[in-house]
Amino acid sequence: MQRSSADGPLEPVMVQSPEDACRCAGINGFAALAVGGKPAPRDIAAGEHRLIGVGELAVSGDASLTLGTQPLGAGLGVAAYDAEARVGGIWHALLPDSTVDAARAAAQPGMFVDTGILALLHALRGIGARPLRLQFHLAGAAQIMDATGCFDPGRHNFEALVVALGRRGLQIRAMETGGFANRTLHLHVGSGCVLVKTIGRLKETVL
Amino acid sequence: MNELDDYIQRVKYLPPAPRVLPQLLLLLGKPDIDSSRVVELITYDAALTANLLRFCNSAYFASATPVADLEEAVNRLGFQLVYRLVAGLSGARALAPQQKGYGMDEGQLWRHSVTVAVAAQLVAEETGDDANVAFTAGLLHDIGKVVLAGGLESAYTKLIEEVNDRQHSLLEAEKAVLGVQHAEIGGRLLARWKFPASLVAAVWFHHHPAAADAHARLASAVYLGNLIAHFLGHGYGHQPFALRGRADAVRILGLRGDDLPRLMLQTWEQYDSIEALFDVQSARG
Repeated sequence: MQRSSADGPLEPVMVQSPEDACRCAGINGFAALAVGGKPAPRDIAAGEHRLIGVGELAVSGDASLTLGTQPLGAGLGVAAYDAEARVGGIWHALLPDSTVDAARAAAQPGMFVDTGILALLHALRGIGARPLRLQFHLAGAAQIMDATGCFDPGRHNFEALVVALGRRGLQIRAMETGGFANRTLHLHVGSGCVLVKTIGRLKETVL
Repeated sequence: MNELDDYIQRVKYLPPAPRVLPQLLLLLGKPDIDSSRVVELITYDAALTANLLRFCNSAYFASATPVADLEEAVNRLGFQLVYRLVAGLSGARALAPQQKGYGMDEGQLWRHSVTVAVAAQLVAEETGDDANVAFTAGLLHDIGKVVLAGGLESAYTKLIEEVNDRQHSLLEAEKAVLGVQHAEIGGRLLARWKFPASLVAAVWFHHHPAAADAHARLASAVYLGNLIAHFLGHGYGHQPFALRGRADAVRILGLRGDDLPRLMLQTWEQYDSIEALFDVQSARG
């Protein structure tokens, strides 16, 4: 397990823009690594580990459960946790904007950032979470494209989520996004501990 | 003889040639497809025929009456579906050995290759290019890695250092460490296997589609297929660190950046059903 050199937990800040999100991470630039001061996630190895698919989201208050994503690629993994209610959720969005396929968005709102954030908050409220208490952790959003102005789903996913959270006054606590890496994101419901794994590297990060 | 052909001659392991595919591609490319010739070609490979009939009678097709022979299978499923089944089955054999040299396991290479095949096919259908050739080129685009991986284990650490520390692309790193590149090796191998020139070029230039001259459109379809697979998280090993996405392919095909989200969704949807169809482990059995 590799721990970050960051000292202690990050101070939550109000996120209004991608620039704010990067300041929140304490590192300048989108391909930032943000690490909190949580203890190593021993608990993640124990108990049931439930993986969601692309475009899916899951919420739970089962303290023994770990929720995780499939490899995210340019998709965005989001973990949201209410430490007071001890409930949380995980979500794997593929694309930023639901206008590309309205029928798909209706059937599976988690596929898109704009419809998925509503579905995630609704589901979390349903099991006792309060949105303003939620701590958001992000992973994925690999940025494979160079800067030739072509569609870059990783960057667009990230930007869309930052705007969606900022509009609601919701806070990003930490993230490991961007770059070329292919990652998975995991949330231990009992502790709120968040883990990011990078495919093909012997590296795990505790967010 | 070119030194890379020489390298292929000397290499310890060569994947099994998907012998049926080049001739089948040729047959299906003609305006009047000769059904009996298609059946005859596939029958030549007994294991392939048995697997194909097993698929036709699997729950996926949910048919009340079982398919008894190949002719019936071709009639019932149609040429295109039969072709993709044959390509998938042959591809699974060619891509089967362990590729430890690239930090990937067998299942990841297969999943990546099928995703690129599906995406390249969708791109080709969208742009009016040959979807069968695009599918096959996508499926076999990394076959060169199967050849290189055998000699790679000792040089592996160095290759990854090149990619990670020097921010080299995978092709640059391969050239620096091994003196050869997986895309070119793959292209040369497919040429030896008598695949059509368009398919050879599409694999050879799948990282540089603009250099494929007359076959730049097909190479672009594979290039975009590869990108889409990585967008979907269907990369493997260290490859994602080594890929540099450029917009050339989008321009060559006359697509717009806006087309990509839709193609990503379609690829994801089709991959899901293909995965169910192939049931990865049994396909390789």
